Amino acid sequence: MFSYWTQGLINATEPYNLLIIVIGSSLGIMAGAIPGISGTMALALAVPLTYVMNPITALLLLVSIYASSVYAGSVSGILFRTPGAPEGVAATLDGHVMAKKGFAGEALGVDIFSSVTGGIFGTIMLALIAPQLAKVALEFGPSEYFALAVLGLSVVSSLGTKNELKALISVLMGLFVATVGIDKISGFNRFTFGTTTLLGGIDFIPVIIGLFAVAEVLNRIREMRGMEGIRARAKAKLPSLKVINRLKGLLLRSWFIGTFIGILPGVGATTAAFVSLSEAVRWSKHPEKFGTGIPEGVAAPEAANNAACSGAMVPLLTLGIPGSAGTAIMLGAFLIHGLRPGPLLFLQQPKLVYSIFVGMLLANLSIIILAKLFIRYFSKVIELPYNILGPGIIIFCVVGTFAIRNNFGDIWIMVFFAIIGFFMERYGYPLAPIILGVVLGPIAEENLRQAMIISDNDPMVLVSTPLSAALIILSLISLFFPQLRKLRRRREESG
Amino acid sequence: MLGETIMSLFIFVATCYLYYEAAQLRVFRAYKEVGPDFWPKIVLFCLIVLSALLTVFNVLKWRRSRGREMVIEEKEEHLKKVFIAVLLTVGYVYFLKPLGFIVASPLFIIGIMFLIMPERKRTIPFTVLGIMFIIYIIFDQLLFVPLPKGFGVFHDISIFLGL
Repeated sequence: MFSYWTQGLINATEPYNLLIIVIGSSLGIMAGAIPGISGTMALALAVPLTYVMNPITALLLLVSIYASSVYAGSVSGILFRTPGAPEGVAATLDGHVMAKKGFAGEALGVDIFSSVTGGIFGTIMLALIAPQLAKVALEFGPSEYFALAVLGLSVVSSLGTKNELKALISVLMGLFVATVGIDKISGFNRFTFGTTTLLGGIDFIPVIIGLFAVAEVLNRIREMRGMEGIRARAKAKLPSLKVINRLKGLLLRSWFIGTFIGILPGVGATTAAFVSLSEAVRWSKHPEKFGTGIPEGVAAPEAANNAACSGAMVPLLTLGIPGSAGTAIMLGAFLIHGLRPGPLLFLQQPKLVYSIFVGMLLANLSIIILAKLFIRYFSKVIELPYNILGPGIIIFCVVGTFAIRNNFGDIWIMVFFAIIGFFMERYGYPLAPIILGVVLGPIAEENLRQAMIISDNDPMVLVSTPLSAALIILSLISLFFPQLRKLRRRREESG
Repeated sequence: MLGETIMSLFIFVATCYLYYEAAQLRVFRAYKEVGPDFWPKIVLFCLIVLSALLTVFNVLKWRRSRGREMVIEEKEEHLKKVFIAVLLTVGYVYFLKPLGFIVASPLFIIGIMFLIMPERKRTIPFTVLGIMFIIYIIFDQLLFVPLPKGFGVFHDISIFLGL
């Protein structure tokens, strides 16, 4: 095995391959940071470029784009409250508040550090125990997936909101939005109201863009706030040793959560980010501080989502099963180059596999330098007066939304959610739970119904295995623990 | 307070209607209890209960605080701006297809700029050109996203201008 690592290192550090890793990471950061353009889109566009490359170089390019785009989704979320990708929503909650308080550099620095270390941890786990991890993933059935989705949803009560009732209403709205379209199990149309646009369901990108970006523009116009532009130039400041020491327990937990959730096909980095955030809140001595602009609120989800990105490579490489849209595109690239991912890949192409591992490590490390450079210029945008920035954001959002499926219906959905988001913010309804519901709703519903159908409508199937029962119990604790803590504090204060 | 009450009441009424729509889905018995209506009904039922609770709380709060609220003139003026911004955005999206990106976008940008800072007229031409150029390079040239060209003469204008 040591010789494979050595060969992988030699392959990945060839000058041409190093250049490809830098180019891939740069493209991934740009694609991930800009709303409407995603890492998946960048991967899809890069695949044709790999036709003329050898397999190792081709895969190094793709894994670099993949790893860096997952990190970058939170950059625009922190700076502009407009996550570039769904994976960045969780970090936006605290990250943007930190930026508004003048700590944008610190938020971005924690973001970089957490993402890089999460990605490195996930890659090492991938390299050391990929086949064993894949076996655990195969134990997950519908009950376990449903319980995991519930665990992710349980974070709603801990998202730093003052009104839990409104937070619950928001998450339920998100769960409902996820039901629109053709039901995957029965094939029936649900809530399409006769329109063809809604047949394909509501994509979460227009929802995110409408709720977070356009609604924010409308709210800025309502308050006429910051119209001259924000003078603070955001420079990413990597966290000090003191901060790292404070975050070490949280980071370690987030790395494990992210890697494990990433292994599960179809769950994704977004779920990993929210579950990690939920656990960070649950384990924190001051859970009420989450949502008020603390580094922990950025570190937990970002460490997890990059670890999940590496974790998603486990089923791809060991079983040939893509765990996400990004890895599905990479599976296509493998096939184009005459490779078949699966158990035999490790035996037949060990140099390739270990070159990918080293390439992912280097791609994650390259984020430290490339991200800082990117942020320095990207953040200048917030210094523009709002009469320039405002219309620019809206136009970008409209065209970015159109770019997803070349569908005008998506733009109307975006506008609809922008109006909804405006009123929700005005009347104190948190927006993040809606995204939580939209992302986790399909996982929860599909697996709940599958579990019920398999067990002939016996609800006890949801807690029939130790794993699903444990996850459900954790979810209940996560959901009710903040309320119990509040009650206890009130009693202590009055008593 | 009145606004909050109306909002929660609106959510309550909307979810009641959607629950009624969900009930219409129960037409295929093969899936027994877990048909296409199963999950939406659970979600909507919870929404109905919670929004009803919230409406009741808001009404009680409103009754208690009645007479103490102050109407702030400034807020009204800004809400008007928001309303105009929404109208402009809706108009832009509506006319984007027939007029095309190159014709509709400058009109929208000018409208919003006048709305936000009417005194800064000098920045308008540069802003329009700058935004259009950046969008064109990123989406049309780099990502090969076909920007809307419009119909009829607007389509010809878009082609003439290089889209």
